[in-house]
Amino acid sequence: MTSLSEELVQISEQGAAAVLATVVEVDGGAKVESGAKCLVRDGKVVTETIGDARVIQAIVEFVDPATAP
Amino acid sequence: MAGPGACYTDADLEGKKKDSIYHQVKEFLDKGETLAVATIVSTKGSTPREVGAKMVVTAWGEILGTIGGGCGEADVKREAIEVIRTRKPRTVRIDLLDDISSDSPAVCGGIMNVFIDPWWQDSKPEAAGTK
Repeated sequence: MTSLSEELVQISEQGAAAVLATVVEVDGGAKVESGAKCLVRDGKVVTETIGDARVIQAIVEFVDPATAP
Repeated sequence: MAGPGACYTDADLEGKKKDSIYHQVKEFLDKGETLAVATIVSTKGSTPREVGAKMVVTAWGEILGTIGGGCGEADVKREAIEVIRTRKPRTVRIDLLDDISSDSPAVCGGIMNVFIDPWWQDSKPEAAGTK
């Protein structure tokens, strides 16, 4: 298993681009917790703790609009 | 060799890649410590750093990186230590309007919201596809 910190170190060493999305606020009855994360690289999810496919899909589409259906 | 006007040589850049904030975070996590990562998530008016700027705070109050220095940073450090203790993230509003007469370079007249997130070894997410 690769930890988030290991992934971030690898990306940093490679000088690669990636996006680390973090949930900072939750309204209503969403089951996603504040602090949950999703690391996206090359349009793909590398690792995540969000657990909600719709939220993850929205993040990936935001990072790379070309992935939108 | 770096060209005219370059700030860093290739060797400097290689060194910087291996000295990123994430390398330091990993070192602390590997030692079993809990850290708080403070990130500016929104700003209004003039602020010393931009959205996305990060600062890491250790349980001992050591700071890696900066979100602008001054009293605002001190407030975030204090909240971060509480976040480390409770392991519950929170967002704090840093008002840089209060002490406009201060000589501090951090007094810019704006407001920034800073998300403070606890990181510890058990909090690491699984790699995609291993669930």
